[in-house]
Amino acid sequence: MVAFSSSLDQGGPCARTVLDAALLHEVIAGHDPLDSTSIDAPVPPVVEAARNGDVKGMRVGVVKQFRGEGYQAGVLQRFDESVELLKELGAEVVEVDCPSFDLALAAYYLIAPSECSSNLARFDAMRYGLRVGDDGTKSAEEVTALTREAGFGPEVKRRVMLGTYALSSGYYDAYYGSAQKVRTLITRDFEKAFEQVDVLVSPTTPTTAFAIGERADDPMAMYLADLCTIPTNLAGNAAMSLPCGLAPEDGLPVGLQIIAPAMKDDRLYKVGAAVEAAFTERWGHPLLEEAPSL
Amino acid sequence: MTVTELVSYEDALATYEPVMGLEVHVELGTKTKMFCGCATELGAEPNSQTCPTCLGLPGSLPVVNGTAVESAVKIGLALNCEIAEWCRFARKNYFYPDMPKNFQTSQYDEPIAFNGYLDVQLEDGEVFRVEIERAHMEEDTGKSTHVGGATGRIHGASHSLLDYNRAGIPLIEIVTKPIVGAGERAPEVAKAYVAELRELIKALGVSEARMEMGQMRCDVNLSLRPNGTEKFGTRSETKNVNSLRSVERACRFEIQRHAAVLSSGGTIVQETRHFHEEDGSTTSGRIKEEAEDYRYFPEPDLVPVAPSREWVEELRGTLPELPRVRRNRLREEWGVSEHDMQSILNAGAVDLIVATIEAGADAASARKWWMGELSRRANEDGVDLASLPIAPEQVARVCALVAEGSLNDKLARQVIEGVLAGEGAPDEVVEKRGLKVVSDEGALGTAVDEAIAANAAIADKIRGGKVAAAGALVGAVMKATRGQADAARVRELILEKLGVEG
Ligand SMILES: [Zn+2]
Repeated sequence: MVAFSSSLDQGGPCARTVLDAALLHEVIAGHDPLDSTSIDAPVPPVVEAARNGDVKGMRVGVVKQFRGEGYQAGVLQRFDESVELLKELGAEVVEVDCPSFDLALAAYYLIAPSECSSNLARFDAMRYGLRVGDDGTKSAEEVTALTREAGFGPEVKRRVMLGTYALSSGYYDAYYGSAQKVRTLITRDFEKAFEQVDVLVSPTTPTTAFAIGERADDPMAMYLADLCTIPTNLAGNAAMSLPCGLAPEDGLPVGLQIIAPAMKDDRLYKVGAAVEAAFTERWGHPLLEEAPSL
Repeated sequence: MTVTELVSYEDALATYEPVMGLEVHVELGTKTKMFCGCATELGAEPNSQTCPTCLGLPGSLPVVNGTAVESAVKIGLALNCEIAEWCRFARKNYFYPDMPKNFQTSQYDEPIAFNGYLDVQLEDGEVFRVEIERAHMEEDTGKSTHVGGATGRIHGASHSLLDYNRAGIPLIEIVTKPIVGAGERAPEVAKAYVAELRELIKALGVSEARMEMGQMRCDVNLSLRPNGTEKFGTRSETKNVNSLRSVERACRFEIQRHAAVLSSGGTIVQETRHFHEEDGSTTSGRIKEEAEDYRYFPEPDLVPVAPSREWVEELRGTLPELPRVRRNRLREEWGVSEHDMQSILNAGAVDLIVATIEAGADAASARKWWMGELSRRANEDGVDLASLPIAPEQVARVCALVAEGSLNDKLARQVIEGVLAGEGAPDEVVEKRGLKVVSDEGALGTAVDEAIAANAAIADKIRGGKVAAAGALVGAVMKATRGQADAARVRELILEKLGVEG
């Protein structure tokens, strides 16, 4: 895995069913002695959880901050149906307040570019990869600059520049430093929430998927797509996204996000498997079977 | 570049007070690198001791070397520092081809050790306390070799070669607080500090700290302020001053240069300077037009280092006797003056003499050989005393042969010579060269008889009571035995045979 933003990068399984994801999860999870940041603790029983989907008696939190302006009506409709489904399946649903989540996007877009600017510095044309302009007349610095100019796309360059700026002396405290403080506040919001509930749920994204390149000229609109997944990423919790239907207005899939405390990944699979089974029964088939018509 | 006329050292000190800051990098002697398992041996084929991590390949991650952390804590403790209960690594970001990731994993505002001091002893025995700001862990960079230019510098080179064997070797950077109050002795204090630090590092066993091998490198920061004022002047940073003598010379030169600039109404530019061994001068490197911005931030690929108090105390318990304390103890045990002890230290002979004594020699003889004959040889050959091809045990054996009367001084010197020439251990050299003192009374008696017969006139004088004339006959016998006789015994035999009382 090539590092983009080390403190946010996280590998995870992606599969057709909750059980498949759990099976893959069990294989790839666990301590890696070559990665000091990987937790040295037993992997939670995710496969067992995926085989025994059940939400009866579970306390499920709906985060107040994950709706409102910018959320597509069809996304909220499918999400609300999912919450109703959870109640029908026996979960106890409560609303939780996580006020610091409103700052998450800003914090994320300082931390991620900062770390990205440093991580991508190694692509300098010296040891491997693309090398541009090495005609024997240019200095190493010039070759590095030409190569990076040619090799990185506009979004990467934007992030490298943002990050370089945010880490600069005189700006560090205001940007990277403040973002790290926000990160702590968000972690505390999660801790408080998990005192009341076992898992949190939200839409995975505020809108359905946008077309490739559609928001290329409007980075802010593009970044807003990450609004619901970023708090979890910043706090280092476990989270899962699974389809909960198609948005009526555009027929595109809507994701349901389930969030659990770190090292409680099994809760995701327990809830995920229950929701998946109930929806499949309701629709008469897995949502994926509608894929060719999308 | 403009050449500045220097003012004399005395004139400089009459007006200004030097303020110094010393930054010393020590390469730790760990078997593996700071963040990967690569070997650290010097002199290997270029790029043969590298892996994805120390080459900064995408997807690789660092893992902290526990022994390096232990060494850092030991150094911190020996420097009377506080040891952080919790600290992190930080990335120091800048582009340079010899740095694989284009950031150096270092420590920034959370060093592992801070707030200490090192007492250093000057040549006359005066003790000066140098306060330590911090000691932190970091990794070394690779090595660039610029080819095709005249000077080995990048300017004028046609291309450069990169060797990443050194990239990732653990370094400890030790930074002093501003050293004030040393006055005219500032250069001497700087040298004594680096010398003391080197001894300390060696005594801790965490590095061989050989400056000529680049295992210990010193940056000298220096500024002047008018005598009696508080505010520090602008400093220059003389980089890579890599011998004790150079540290002293660089300080001295910068004091004279700063004084010249300031006295003529000029201002000191904050800049890096290069030191030149040939003439002891420094020249301008790059000018720091704007302070370099390393964009430090906590290293997200590593977890914090949190040395437990129990472990720190355990390590404190393993610290060896401090070099200065040990030196003073040895000085008393050997019964030598402060000045002689300093010479022994400067010659790098302390450990050799100790080892020779441990191998059975008496202190005076051990000292005599290392500081006399062997020092002379080392000087002639331009090598360290320790790298002479003779072991302390061998010197001790020569001492023993002298003590038991098998060798006299002259023969002992020849044995030493033989050992140095690679002829084998002392006993082998004695054997091969036939250097034993002639103690065979029969052979000696014959030689004496022959000398008396050949020098009848002198023999008569002796018989007549002129005992002092015996010297000439002793000389003749010594010549005949090629110096292998015990002169005192020869004299006894001569007097005996001539029937004279000695
Ligand atoms: Zn390596």
